[in-house]
Amino acid sequence: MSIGMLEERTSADALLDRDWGPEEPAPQRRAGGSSITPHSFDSHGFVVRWPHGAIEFAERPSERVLSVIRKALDLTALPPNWDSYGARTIDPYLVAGTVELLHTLIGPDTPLPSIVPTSRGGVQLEWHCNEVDLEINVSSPIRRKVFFEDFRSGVSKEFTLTGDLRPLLPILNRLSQLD
Amino acid sequence: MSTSESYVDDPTVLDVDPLWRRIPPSHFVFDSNNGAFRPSSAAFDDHPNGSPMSVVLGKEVIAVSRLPESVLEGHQGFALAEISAGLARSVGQGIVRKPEDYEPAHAEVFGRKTDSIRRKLAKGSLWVIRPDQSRES
Repeated sequence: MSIGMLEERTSADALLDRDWGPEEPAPQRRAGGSSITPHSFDSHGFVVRWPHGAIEFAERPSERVLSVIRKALDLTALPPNWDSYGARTIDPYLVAGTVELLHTLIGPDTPLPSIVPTSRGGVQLEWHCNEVDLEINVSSPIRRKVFFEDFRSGVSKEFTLTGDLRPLLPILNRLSQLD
Repeated sequence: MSTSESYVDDPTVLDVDPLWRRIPPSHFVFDSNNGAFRPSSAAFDDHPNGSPMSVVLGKEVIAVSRLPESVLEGHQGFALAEISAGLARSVGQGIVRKPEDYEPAHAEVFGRKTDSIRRKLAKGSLWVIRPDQSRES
């Protein structure tokens, strides 16, 4: 998926809070990793299955994107107190939101982020490369807190996204050295 | 200097004194802008229950002839990072001694930890025991 796909997504496509969460109680968490397998639900569909359900994609993510999706999904296997300071387990719904974000943001030229759990049960994506620091904190199903610093230009920004990811476009271009 | 409810910054913890913080493997991030692994900003947050960020007073550990590795006992794969008390105070934090039975050198860093503050703490940290030096405990 190229960064161009990001331009096609509008706020109308963004998931709302009510779109998240199972209609029945979440399945009991099982130990072990996630399972990413191809599944044909139409001629192009792709499904990621994990202990907390299934995430469907309109097209198969690239192997690069799948590699970071696996890392995100594996965060739900962290036990309580994984940081030795009382950290919470990672919220599967926030991990699902992170997977969606990864699928949307990472194009063929986009460096892969570090996938970092937070002690409060969220996920943080971090890039520290090409003279850029970019951190995206996924602490709720639709709110993403963004921090960006460009050491080359001296520009530093902090803002919150609640659906429309297009403000990230110039940042991702800069991160990917497409500017 | 910061105060928060019952917390009062302890001036006997000097600005130059090292505050040690265990870093789990999931918080090692590679910063290619500097060519090295460092802790994520996520590693410098308060306890999820709201109590202040736990640290160990490195000077107290060394004063009783303990090795830094003793702070990582039982935490396989963890590394140990250090921030100075002065760095913590420069971002509006305070330090209070809070010895525990399991860690006599335990202390807490109190004060509001915004994303910006956590990033400054992370970037200002140094390794005491690097990720590649961490071993099974």
